[in-house]
Amino acid sequence: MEIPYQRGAYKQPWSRQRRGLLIFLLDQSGSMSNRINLQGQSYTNGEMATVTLNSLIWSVVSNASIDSQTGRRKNYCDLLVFGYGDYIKPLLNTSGAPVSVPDLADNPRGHHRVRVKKYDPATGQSAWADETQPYWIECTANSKRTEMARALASAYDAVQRWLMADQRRRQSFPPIVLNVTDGQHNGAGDPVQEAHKLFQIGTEDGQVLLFNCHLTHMSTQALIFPSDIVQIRAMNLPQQEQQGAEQLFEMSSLIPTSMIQRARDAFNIGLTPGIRGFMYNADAQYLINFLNWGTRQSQGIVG
Amino acid sequence: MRRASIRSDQPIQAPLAKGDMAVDGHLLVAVGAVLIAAAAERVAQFTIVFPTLGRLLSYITHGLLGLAVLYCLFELSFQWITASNDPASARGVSASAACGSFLLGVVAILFVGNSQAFLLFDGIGIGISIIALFSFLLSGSGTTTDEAVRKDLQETELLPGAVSAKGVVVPPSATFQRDTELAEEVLPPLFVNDPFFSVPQLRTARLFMQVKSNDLPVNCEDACAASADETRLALCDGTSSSSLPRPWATLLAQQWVKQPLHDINVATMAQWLEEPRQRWKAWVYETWLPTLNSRNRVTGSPPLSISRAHEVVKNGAFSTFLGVTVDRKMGEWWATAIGDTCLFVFYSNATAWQLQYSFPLQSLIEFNDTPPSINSHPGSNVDMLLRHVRQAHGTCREGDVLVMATDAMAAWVLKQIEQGASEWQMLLSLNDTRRFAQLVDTQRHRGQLHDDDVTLIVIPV
Repeated sequence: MEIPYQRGAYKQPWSRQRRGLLIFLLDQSGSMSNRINLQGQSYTNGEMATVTLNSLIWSVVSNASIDSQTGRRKNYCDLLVFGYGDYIKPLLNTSGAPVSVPDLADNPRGHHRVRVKKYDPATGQSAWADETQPYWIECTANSKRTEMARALASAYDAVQRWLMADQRRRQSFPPIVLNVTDGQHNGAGDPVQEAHKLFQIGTEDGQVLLFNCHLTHMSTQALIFPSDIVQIRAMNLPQQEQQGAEQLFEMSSLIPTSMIQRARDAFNIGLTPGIRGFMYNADAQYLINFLNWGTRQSQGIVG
Repeated sequence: MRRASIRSDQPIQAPLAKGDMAVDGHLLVAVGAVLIAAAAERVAQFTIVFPTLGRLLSYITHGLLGLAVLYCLFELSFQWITASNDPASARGVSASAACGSFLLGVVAILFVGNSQAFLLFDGIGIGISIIALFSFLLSGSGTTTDEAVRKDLQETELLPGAVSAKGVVVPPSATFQRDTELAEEVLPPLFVNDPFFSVPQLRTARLFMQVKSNDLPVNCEDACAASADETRLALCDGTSSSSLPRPWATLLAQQWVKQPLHDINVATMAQWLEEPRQRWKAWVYETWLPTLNSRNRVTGSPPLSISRAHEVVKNGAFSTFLGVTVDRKMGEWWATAIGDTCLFVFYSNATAWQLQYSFPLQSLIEFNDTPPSINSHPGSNVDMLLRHVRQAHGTCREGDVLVMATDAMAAWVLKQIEQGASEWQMLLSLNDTRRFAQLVDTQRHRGQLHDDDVTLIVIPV
């Protein structure tokens, strides 16, 4: 199996000086309305993906500390969300321009109640709790096609534009693209080829990272960060499902050692080098924690 | 009244600094236009020679009057919302309402016909205008906070990132230019004269600071303090992923100078932290929020609600800590540390400086992204904090040098020593802030020194 072209230190944490870019690609095809069970609740794939993305945006926003000079969130990252089905559609605004963290923080679409797993420092345990959170994206899953390749091409264009907009961004942590899908590309072009095009661009700190999150109703098995395609085959999935999963695996970047290190330091999970940014039926919270720590600003908080 | 049409990212300081009227500018322009047009119309009415001109002026006047009324209604609703969101801006809004009423009064007079039957309505219009004008003048006389902010804006305009609050020169960099994207565009920085953002001036010890990416000194999150005789010194590195860490770092450093903490247990630690924690919280509510909102009023940005201050206080600021006490007569030092701000003790062996002691970290590999740090929140766990407290005591002789450094510089020094390099040696004899800045720039550029706030205190024994 060909390892995606990838080099770089991936060490530059997001900061106001070295701002980051996060692009989310959200599958909005009709197949995303299949139902899955998670944490005792029934969701469609699309709902699950939307909940995940909103939580992810919220955690990026809420982790940004307050800037003493403006009183707003620190402006260290831009976000961009594309929905894809029959068409590619920006979901945060109509223009498709990346939105900064403080602007996102100040302009959510609304607020809703969600169940979150919260760590209680007093007991040292995590427990489920209801919490009111802002949201930015609403769920739609009604398209006939799944233009994943074109979505990746849009991400490619957006990354190029973002990098061109300011020379200093060449020193930033490379843009991260997260694709949330049920795994079935159904449209023009070849998503693997588009993914590999994305891997070719980046910053001085590394190539673009593409993570794929495969949500499915076809299986209750979960697989997080496999390092070998054999691990997918071992799950004995139905043929079409397996094809989709294998394709996504091939489209996934290697997780940089620096992110593995950070994840190990921060929430004590043992990950080995060589793993890919691919998750099959991943727990949303896990994904959120991982990306959160992997992209954190220079200093965390302990003690 | 502060209109939202001036966005915070526009370069508004220039007109303000020239003393132009930012308050109610739009309304005054509207009033002026109406008055001029109305005067012209009145003149034209008596100019029977130019009936066409009179009619034309009359159309223009009535058009302007109509626009002015619409504008007033828009302002009224907009200000209503602003005032109900932020009581602090109420005075500005009442000034605006007075100004609006004055305009409406003038409009009323102009619409009223000339016949005697309308004398009563003319009287009402004139009455409204006079009362409104008085209340506008009254509300305008109490704008001290705005003036303070405007004065601040004027003063800080002189600061292109070159001089810190108390005169320690942070020289402009040779290779790095200041990142303009940093300053939420071109607004002059706040808090440059705030005591919590000041840098002490040392006599025997030498202090060097260089901000991350050569940003403005006010954005430096390191803070230090020293006693007058420079036997007690503290250096703290505010955590950038927490909110408002600089005042917290300053308060911790000052607390050490006031009351060095050597005998540490849960009770003494909790007691020691109490005062800085209270003062930090008070600063957030009494200085930070009002200062930002004063500026927001001037720039027309929406005010910050008190809930933002609640949130900041709830999450707290974080900072590492290193406190040192030196007894030069007895040749002894004591140090207390939480986190990765380091103390080095060097001695000279005729040819070069040698590292005698390194505290609390001894090697490069011990540095990570999540150093222990002290939270400003009163409810945070002191037990947990005590696990991270490190203490040391050692001896020193005349001619030795003690060095305190925040993590980026400390890691660089240890890395240099581990690699057998000698560039770090110049730090100990350094006198010139420019040379320090050059060194930092060069090492950052080579990727040897992490681009973070860098503070170095060199203490000759």
